[in-house]
Order: sequence, then C-alpha cells, then structure tokens
Amino acid sequence: MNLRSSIFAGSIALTLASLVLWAATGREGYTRWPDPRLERADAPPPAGEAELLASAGMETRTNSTPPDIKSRFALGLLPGGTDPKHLLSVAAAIAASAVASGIAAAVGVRRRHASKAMNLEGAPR
Amino acid sequence: MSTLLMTLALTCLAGLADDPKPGPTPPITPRVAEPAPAHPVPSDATLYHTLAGRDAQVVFTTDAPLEKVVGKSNEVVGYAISGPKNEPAKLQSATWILPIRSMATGIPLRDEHMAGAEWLNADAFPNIQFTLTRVDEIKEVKKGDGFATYSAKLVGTLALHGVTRELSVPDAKLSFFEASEKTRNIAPGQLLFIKCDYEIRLSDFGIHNPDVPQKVSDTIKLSQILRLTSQAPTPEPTPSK
Repeated sequence: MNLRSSIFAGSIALTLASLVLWAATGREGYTRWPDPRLERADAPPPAGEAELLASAGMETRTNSTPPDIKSRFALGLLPGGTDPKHLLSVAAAIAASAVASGIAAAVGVRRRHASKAMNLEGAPR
Repeated sequence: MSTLLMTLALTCLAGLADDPKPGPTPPITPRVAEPAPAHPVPSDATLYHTLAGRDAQVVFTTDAPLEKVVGKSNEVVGYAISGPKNEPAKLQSATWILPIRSMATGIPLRDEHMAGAEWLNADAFPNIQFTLTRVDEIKEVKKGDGFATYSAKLVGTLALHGVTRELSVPDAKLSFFEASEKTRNIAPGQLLFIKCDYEIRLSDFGIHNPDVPQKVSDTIKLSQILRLTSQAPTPEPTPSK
C-alpha cells in the first residue's frame, strides 16, 4: 500500500474511530472532560440522608431529576471549548481526515501531471 | 503528512496532561458570603444557615436543538428564619444567593457564554438572589418523633440580570429535624431541608438573545434541594477562586 492509500485509509479509520467513541461516550453534542466544579456537585449526599428524608415524607432529587450530567469525558460532535483537549471532537476528526485526504489527493494529481509532462517530452519523434 | 498528524497528536496529548487526577474532592469556600438577616431573630424562632459546597443544590435545565442543557451549582448561600414553634413552616424571612459563575454545565465554552454579556452578564450582575416575602398554603405532610414535613408556596422576589420580579414557588417541601444521632451524620444542629421545582423565563428578566427561542428555550427549569442547619458556619480563612 503506498503512502497516499495509507493516508486515505488512516483518514477513514480516524473518522470511524471518532464516531465509535462519540457513540460509546454518550452521543453528546459537545466534548466534555472531567470538571472540578461538577465533581463537587456530583458528590453523593451524606450517608443516611436519603432514608431520613424518605421517612419524613420528603422525596429526594433522584425521583424527579432531569437528565443528569456527570463530571466525565465524552467526545462530542463539536468542540466544547478553545483549549486543546476540548477541541477534540467528531467534527475535528472529520476535518483533519478531509484535509489529509485532500492534500494526499492533490499531491497525487500533481505527480500524475508531472509524470505525463515528462513522458511527452521524452517521447521519440 | 505524518509529521502533521504527529504534531496534532502531541498537541492533544499535551492538553490531556492537564487532566485533574482523581481523588477526594476538596472542600470549597463559597465565593459569596452568607447574607445577614434583615431583622433580629425572634426568641421563638430558629435561624438556619444554608450548607454549601456539598452535592448539587440547584440543577437547571433548558432545551436546545443539539442537546438538553443541564447545569449544576453547589454554592448557594443564604439563611432562613423559621416560624413560631407551632408553625415552623411559616418562615419569617429567608434570602438565598446563587453565584452565576458557580453554575457548571461541564462544557467550558457554554459556561463562558452563559456568564457572558449576551446572556446572564455575570460581570455586571454576578449573583441571582431570591428574597422570601411570605409563605402561603402551608399543609402538614407528615409529622413524627423529631421531625415535621410541610408543603407550602414560597412567595418572594427574584433578582436576576438586574431585574427583580415576584416569584411564586408552589409545592415546596420543607422538612424540619431536631438534632439527633441520625441528623448528626448529615450536619450538626437542627436541620431544615427545602425542596422545590419551578420555572423562570429569561425574557421576564430582560435577557433577550437572538438565539431564543429557536436555539435555546426561553424557559429554564430549576430543581433545588437546600440543606440548612441551625449551627452557624465556621469562617474559612482562605477564599477559593
């Protein structure tokens, strides 16, 4: 397999890998990483509190929580920030693959044209 | 080409090196001081102090096309003064403050936008403040040895983005606990839990953004559980950022 084919194959592999990771990490819209503020807010309530409140007729949040967020890693479709780790995303992977493939294709086209020009110059009269 | 890919990979790995290492969560000092009660505490009432820095006190949710936006904060500070002994749920006074920059969605870009001038404008209006004016529709839900739970409607004013409006929070639950072995595992002193769910509209508070309502819903849903104790908080020597 020549270099150009390797680049094309690598681009496809990178795109597929990013989509797999996106699906495996929760199909989020934006890339997220562990967040210290969320880690504190994600801390479990003190031991026994849920039982105490339930016995007093007070439901806990778990009964009525909207979709929860956790301090964790998830590859998103789009970047979640401007620092390097948040720039990682499916869109970034597709863009990198497209650029690499485009450059490889352009280099290939230039070489073909250069090769044809040399053949024409070297053709016998 | 391989050099370009290698450079990209190394850049990403350099960013990954900043990841916080897992470990015990350090305590925090709320970025806002607890407000002082506006009036003296009557002798037959109890002054409760909000415990911040633990699990999420406020969870907010709003709809957006790409995904539902969810955020949390555990830095609400404030106080509540209970009613008389025979009617503790008739809170005589309460104020709670939520610092806008304490709200986290897990996505730095979104947190910056939320606090930016186009949305909540945290530089000009750093806090969201609720001041209780009265408690209506009090009903006893359950009462037992050392505890009592009530449902009530909390009525007060909400100050957000430089605008103050009356806000009614129906179906709030208030649970009062006498100090006991069970409660000491949670916090010292007598405890008060307040749980409520309510909605606000950004447009009611002067937040008008072209992205509303097509990209972000005008309605924000909030779910709160506040934990308060009769024991006054210990002052922390070093403020956190």
